[in-house]
Amino acid sequence: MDRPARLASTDEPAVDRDVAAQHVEGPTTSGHHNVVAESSGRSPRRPGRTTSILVAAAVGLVVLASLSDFVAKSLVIGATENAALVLAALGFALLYRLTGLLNVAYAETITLGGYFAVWLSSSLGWGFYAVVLPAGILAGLLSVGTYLAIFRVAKRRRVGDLEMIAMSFGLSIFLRHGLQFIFGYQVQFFDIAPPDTISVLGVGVPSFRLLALASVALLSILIYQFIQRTRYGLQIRALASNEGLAQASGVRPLTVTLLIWFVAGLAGGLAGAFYGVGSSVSPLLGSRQLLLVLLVVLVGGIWDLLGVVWVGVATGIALTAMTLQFGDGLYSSLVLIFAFLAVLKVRGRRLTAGTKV
Amino acid sequence: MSLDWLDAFLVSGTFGVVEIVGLGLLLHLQVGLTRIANFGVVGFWGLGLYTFGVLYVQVDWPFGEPWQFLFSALAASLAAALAGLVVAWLIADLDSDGALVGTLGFSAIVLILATTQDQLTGGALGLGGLGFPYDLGTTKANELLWLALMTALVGLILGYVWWVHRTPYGRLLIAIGSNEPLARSMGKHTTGAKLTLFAITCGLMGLLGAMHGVMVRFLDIGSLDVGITLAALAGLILGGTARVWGAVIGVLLTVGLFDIVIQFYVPLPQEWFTQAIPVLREAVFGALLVVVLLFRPQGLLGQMRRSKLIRAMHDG
Amino acid sequence: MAEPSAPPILEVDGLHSGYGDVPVLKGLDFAVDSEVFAILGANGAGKTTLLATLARLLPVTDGSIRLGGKDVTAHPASETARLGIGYVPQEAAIFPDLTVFENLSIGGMIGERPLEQGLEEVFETFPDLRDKVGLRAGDLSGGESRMVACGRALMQDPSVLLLDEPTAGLSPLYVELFFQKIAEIHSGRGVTIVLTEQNATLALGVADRVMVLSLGLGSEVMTAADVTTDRLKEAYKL
Repeated sequence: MDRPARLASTDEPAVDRDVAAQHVEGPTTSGHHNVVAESSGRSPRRPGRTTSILVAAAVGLVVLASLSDFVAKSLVIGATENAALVLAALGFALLYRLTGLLNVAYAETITLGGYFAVWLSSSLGWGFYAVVLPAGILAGLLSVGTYLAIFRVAKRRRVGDLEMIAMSFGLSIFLRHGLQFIFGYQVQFFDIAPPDTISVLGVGVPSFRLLALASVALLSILIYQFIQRTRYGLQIRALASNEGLAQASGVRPLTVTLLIWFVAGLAGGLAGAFYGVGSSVSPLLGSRQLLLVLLVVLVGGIWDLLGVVWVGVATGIALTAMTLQFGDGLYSSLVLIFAFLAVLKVRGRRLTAGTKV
Repeated sequence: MSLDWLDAFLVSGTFGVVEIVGLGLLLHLQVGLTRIANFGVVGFWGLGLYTFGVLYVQVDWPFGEPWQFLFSALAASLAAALAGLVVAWLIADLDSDGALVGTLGFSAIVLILATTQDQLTGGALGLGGLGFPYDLGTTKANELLWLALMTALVGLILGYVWWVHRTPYGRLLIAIGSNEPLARSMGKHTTGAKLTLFAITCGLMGLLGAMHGVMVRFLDIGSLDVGITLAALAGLILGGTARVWGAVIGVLLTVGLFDIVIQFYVPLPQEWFTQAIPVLREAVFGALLVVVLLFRPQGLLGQMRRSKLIRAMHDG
Repeated sequence: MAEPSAPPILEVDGLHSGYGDVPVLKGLDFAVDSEVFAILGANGAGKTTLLATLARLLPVTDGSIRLGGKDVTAHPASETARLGIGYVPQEAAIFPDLTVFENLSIGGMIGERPLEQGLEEVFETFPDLRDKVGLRAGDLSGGESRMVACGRALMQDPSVLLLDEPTAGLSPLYVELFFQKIAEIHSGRGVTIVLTEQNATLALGVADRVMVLSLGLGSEVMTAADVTTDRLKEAYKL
């Protein structure tokens, strides 16, 4: 624990070097160096094949998009309007996979991220991009606070699985309604400049949405890399994999657990800020998204964190495609809920083994 | 008979308490005995409410009351029972996490359908035209009789729950809640028992929803929010999930205290009732869930009666 | 052997421990110096409990544990690990979802030694691991995953290595290899080794001294060379 966290680092190659530098250098091992560098971080199961499938799928979609206006609209609007979903799901999945807790109160971490951003922006008079990170950090601290005040105590008192969920459900409702007392009952909006539109694949997109998409993508990559590539990420995964052994190896459980809750809360808070800037901030902001986040995490989690990201992206695009088709967002939610429940039914038995590390 | 001495709000307030007691009792069978996490109580209740309301108002029934009510309420119960069967089948193999998502997803589906099918349900505007299957002359008298009928129904549900505790079926549910693989390895049809449980209890939740529809005489999608689930869950957990009387005691102490004692007998500024009180109520119920589960997870009434057996199963 | 005046490397005094309300260890006293120290005993004697307690993963209900004279009774596992205890449990001894490289890196996060040096030393002891660094640890064979477990503990650069039945369930070929490696680790690097073993003959082949654990109590500590069948029988009957 002698190095500073690389959380704030935006210098992505540096994170890579961090691990690469740890590999054995020398004549005897140089032959294996590439193998190590390629597969030490992520799941070693055929990463090359997965990547090529994804690249092929992306190329195929772009080709389709250039031919069909409907596909282009679905892709562009789906990606830009639902970008925050990926970030929210990533944070939720972190907490779920690494602590085994299905935290319903995560919805309010999202909501609070939105409120913190509005509140900072209006009280300091700063622009959205100046307050988004501080708002995320505040949400992360709040997440750590709920762990220390409630979930840590509950774990020590050996509260059961079902009771743990009921507790997080109660906390969620307490926070949601507490928020209405603090921030009032009115819906709040960010004070942003009227958008200028940029054309992507022939579809007009407000520029701030594109910037939001890029930011969300960058933040998701950073969080994912933090978990997969840094020594803190390694300690987080070790603690999740085998708590006793991690402690016997010198991993300090409290420090690392706090880190998990902070990073998850940060992701949730950032997602909330981006949800908020895309539409508005209200006490129901997070809980409206929770079911979708839960479904994405449970279905995507059948694979791994990357699975959560891809299922999140696909969900966002499918949601838009269906909304364009049906003309009503509620129907697309309906179809998605049915589809996800069907997946859960089919993959059900593998669910517990796959998601709880 | 003059009913001037009786406050009309007291009747509807008491009706609400009795209704939540009924939901809490049914939830006790699901969560307390069988330990299936149903966080979608409002879905089953709401499906009953809306099926009843839509059938009652939109269908041109060839016969009059009370048959119009009875047919609609029966259909509502069957619809909720069928939904319970499907949801139970969906989550039968999943753990509490899967059950949460399944039941929450179901209640979201009900809300979406109630909103989108607005030619039938009235959608966000709501739907009027419901009424009592009898007429005693005044609304207050009608409501009072309906409260008595609801209390009788919930009394029957209490009797049913008490009876289940004393049957082999109840013991099988307890065994599933304690250790399902063990119960299955002893040759018990655990999935079948869970499906039956959900069909019956969710059907009754639907019936309670239909009864609610008659009392409020208006379908409002606002009633499909998390409030019903929260009230039933908070009451049940405060009273004790494992005990027959847990839901009764718990709901009286939560919903009863808040909706009757505080709202009627504590002098609060009038403007609080529109926004502050409902918000405060939910916040308190939420906090109550956390505090009770943290410091007295077995609730006020404590462990199940046959706690020796249960402890032996848990430790073994 | 240490100087006569220096405190023993590991010293256990009146140790009581167990799981919840169930006591397992009922007052153990022994001291370990730079040596291979074997704890013998039948199934259920408390060997695993003793090692997990020494690693500070189980609570001490009474008595004390000292490491080089320093009282570590109240330390959590993560801190005793930093003070030089390396622990290899019998079961769940690796992180199955992490790669071999990551398993080893976890051990190498504490201490001053650069990671490369630690890895190189582990590969010298277990050359088979060199080719397997990129694999998921959970996909390895039983013997290989035992090497990873041991290697992870060695990466911590420990002064005391606690090995819980290091060869249980391994094929005879691996058993021989492992005891050879254990002797090497002790003589080559000066790591004190405390291991548990059911098979007395195997243990006596590598240990300097042995103690028999029976029903949570320890026999007198015997020098391996002085152990006779009669003395062992007596100790087991305790």
